[in-house]
Amino acid sequence: MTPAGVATRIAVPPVAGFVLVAAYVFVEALGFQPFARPDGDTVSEAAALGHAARALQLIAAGEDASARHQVRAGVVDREQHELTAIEAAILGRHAELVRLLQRSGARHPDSARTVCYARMRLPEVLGDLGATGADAPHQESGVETTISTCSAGGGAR
Amino acid sequence: MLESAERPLADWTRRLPYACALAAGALMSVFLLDIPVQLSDSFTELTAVADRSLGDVVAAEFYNGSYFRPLRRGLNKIVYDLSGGRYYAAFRGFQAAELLVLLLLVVRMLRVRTRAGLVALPLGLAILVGLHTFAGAILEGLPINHFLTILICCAAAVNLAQARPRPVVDAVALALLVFAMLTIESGLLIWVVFLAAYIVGYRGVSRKGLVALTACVALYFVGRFVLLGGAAPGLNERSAGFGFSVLDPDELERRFGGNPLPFYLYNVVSAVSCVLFAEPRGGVWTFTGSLTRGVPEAWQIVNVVTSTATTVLIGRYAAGRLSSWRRGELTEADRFVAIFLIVVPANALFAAAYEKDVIMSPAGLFYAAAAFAVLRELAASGGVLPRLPSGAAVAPALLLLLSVGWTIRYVGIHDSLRMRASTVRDEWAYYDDWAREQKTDVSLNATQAAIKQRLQDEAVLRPPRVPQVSLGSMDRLFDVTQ
Repeated sequence: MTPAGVATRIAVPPVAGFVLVAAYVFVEALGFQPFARPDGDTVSEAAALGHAARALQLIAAGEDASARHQVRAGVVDREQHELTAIEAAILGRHAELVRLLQRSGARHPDSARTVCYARMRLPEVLGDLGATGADAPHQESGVETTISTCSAGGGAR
Repeated sequence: MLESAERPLADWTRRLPYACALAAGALMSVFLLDIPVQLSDSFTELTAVADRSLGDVVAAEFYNGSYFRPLRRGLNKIVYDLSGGRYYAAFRGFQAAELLVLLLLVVRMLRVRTRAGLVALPLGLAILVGLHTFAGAILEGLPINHFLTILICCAAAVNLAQARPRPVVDAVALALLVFAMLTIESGLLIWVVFLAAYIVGYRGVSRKGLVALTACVALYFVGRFVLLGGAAPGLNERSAGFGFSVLDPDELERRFGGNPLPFYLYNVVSAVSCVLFAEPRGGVWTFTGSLTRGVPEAWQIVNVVTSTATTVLIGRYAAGRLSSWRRGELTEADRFVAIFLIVVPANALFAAAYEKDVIMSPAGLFYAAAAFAVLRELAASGGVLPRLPSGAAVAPALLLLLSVGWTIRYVGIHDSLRMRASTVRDEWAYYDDWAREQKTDVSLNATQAAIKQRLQDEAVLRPPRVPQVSLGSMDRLFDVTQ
């Protein structure tokens, strides 16, 4: 192996790694965010993703934590939804965030639907929602099943 | 071609190694500066120094039972006072400055004076910052990362040892050792570094200086354990990895309370293995466990394969040079390998009570230096370890594998920094839960409440929020546990 061949093998990968990371930072500084994970454009999206700080940031910026907000397709499932922050946190299975949202003033206007979601996805927060059944056996229905069941009148059960 | 690779650098390229270090450090700092001051292990450090004088803060730490770190909190106090209430800027800025200083000192220590050195430097730096033992020194704030401080002291110690012998070098060496060992227990390693440097032939610190350093270490033990009545940490201090799981203090006490020696021995062996093979991690054999259950994660394979291959390379070099070492013939590469071999077991002793990757960060620093030295030899000789018996060629594919593997780990630490920014923000969002879970009461006075509010606002409300990154299936290559 020639010294040039060795030098190439030793030096090129780390230099390329550095250039890639630097290029990413540069592109990001220009306002583009390729490869960015979804971060929550609404408080409900942030709640579904479990991004507590982002949710609080949006609430502090004036977003109504109790209202329904759009949750883009691909966040909780393949469909787009209109959810409250608490509902979104339940569907994302973030129990601590449900409590944090409540402490931050979030309410759940359609209580029956919210409780239905919790019963199917996150029974441990039922007590926090003022419902019974928190000690029920653990279950974790799929998001699509949960939404369709609770929207089809399951929430009234 | 061989002569060309070993030819000294031209005048205009002599500063290139430092430019490399600055570029790598600056890029990493961009990611580092996006992390708010963390809540866990950091917030209470600020509230602890808020209403006290520097003297009080330092003096109180002399009588802190099993921990002896008076200057650690003293340094926190100094930066806190200088911050003028801008805690994020002060503490993260300090950490970024420390990172830059470290990289510059490391490059100076490596004495990159040939083209081969310049070729090996990017990979050497990638190994240094991509190593799992380094992650804790950069991902944690605390709010000043004392492990990062000790790494600076290690690199500074070698620089002093390489200097022209003068009384002032001895005096600075003494000051450095005192500062390091009063910052955190593993600062005692600076003495080992000075000793190792002397053994391999660096004479910047004189024999008299070394005697003074040794006396200083003796004084430390007398002062700490006899005069101040300090004690070593017990088994009940914290959870620790053992085998394939983490044991809580009660379980540790139950299993090893009668005779902790086997547990200490396990930790020392694990710590050495952690540096050499990236397994176990934090005392837990995660890769081995994954192997027994099926296929390990991709990042585990990357970590273990790159670390093991690099260790084999260093080991092969050292084994081939042993006879020359016995005759006292040491090259510059030999010196770095030998210092590494001396520091690793000494460093592992500090992990005896519980094994944590970052405790081994000084050994990791010298691991990177040794790897750089061997790679420089390879670059100068076309892939043959030049001063070894014939047949010591290194397969081109292995070199490429090493380089690509470490590059993944180098990129991965930036990914971890970005992830850390997100987790620290969320950590602050759950402040009330955190406060409720603390063993001690965290009710705050007015000053402390103002600090909390400022830090929480900076973490949760400060725009712009830089999102986490996903490279799809490539994410599996990055170590998400660090």
